Amino acid sequence: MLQYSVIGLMYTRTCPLSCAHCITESAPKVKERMRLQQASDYLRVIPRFCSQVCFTGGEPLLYHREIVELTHQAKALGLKVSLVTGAGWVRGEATARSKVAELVDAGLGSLCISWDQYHEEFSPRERAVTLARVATELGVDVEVRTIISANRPKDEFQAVFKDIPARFQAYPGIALGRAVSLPATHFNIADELPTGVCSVVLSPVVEPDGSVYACCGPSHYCQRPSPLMLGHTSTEPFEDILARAVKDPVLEIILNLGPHGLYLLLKDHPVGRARFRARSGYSGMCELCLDITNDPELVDAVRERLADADARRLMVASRLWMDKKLMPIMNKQRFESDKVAEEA
Amino acid sequence: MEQAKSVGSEGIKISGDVVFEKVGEELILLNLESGAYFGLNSVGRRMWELVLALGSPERMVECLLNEFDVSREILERDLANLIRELKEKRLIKGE
Repeated sequence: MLQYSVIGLMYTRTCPLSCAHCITESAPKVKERMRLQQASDYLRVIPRFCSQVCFTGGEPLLYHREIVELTHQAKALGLKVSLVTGAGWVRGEATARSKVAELVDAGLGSLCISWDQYHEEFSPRERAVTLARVATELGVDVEVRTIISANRPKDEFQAVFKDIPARFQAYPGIALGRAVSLPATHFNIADELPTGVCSVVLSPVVEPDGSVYACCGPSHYCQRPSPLMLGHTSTEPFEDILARAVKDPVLEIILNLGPHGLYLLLKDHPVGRARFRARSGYSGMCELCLDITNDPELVDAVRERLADADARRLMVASRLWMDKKLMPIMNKQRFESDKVAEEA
Repeated sequence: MEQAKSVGSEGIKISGDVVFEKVGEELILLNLESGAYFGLNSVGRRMWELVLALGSPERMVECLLNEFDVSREILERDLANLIRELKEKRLIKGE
């Protein structure tokens, strides 16, 4: 059974920026937005599944007042509160400080600043740097999340935040959403099937229209029916959607073995052998995940395999591997990264 | 078919990096160092429990003879096979 680490509320898909790599294709003209009452209703369900909520978007701080109110509510429910922002709203230090201070007073614990070369085309880096500095000064745990193009060095971006006690996390780009239009040189294309586990399925997200997805971003591109499309809150209670999803063995395989685990199960199944065709190149594991989960016959074949003893053993062994080996390593890395940020 | 060796008197121990979990009647073993895993049925699971408790194959045979309706010869052969397989996957080790 999955134990969620955080549940995301995509409060809006509107964003003052239109970054070329944006996986959610957020932009100023995209008008989807969650209602305050709707978000409040979701918040009341979250403590039954995990201890943290993350407000994301788009740019959630376009609705600063509402996010402050929701942060108050989340805090009162005992939730830790985090927020993802592109810093496009920052206009000077005093205003940024005042807005972050209100969020901190309401209960904001951590802030993820999404910033990289693609953001910089629309918003000067000073906004992200100012926000990171102000937020850390106000005691917020800050992470700067950067998508590194394959043709640019990571250090170039990390250096921008070198004097600020924020964690810097760099990730390769994925050719999904608006990023499909970027030149191939921006991606690390591998011609082999991508391997690796995927803990992102521990972070489901509700979009403004009530769609609930298994992860934030890539699963937005799943086709229905798909195990990545967890449900829709207009037709089913949010709680029932999550209660079903945490028990889905397909998602558990994606967590513990990555999409490659789905492939391992399919390669020994006649439907898998007949229908699965590998791409000539992958920018990341999300493409493999979507290729398999978007095909209902392949998903049925995976579920059929999961009923046999060999696959069940693989599933249990992979869960033990995740719980006893990988999670402690990831927690240690996170701890060390926090320590480095504190020392900085 | 590979010839089974007889059960020796050496002590056996579970390797340090091994974790295991009971799933239904089965016990799934995993070596965290190598990633090798193995499923034991209910009889194999009982043998594993005795590895944990006794460590000596000779004492395990005596104990299992009291629990299962099986000849000493077959039991010793099955136990030796299991021990060999678990050693190959580095799930147990001899002292």
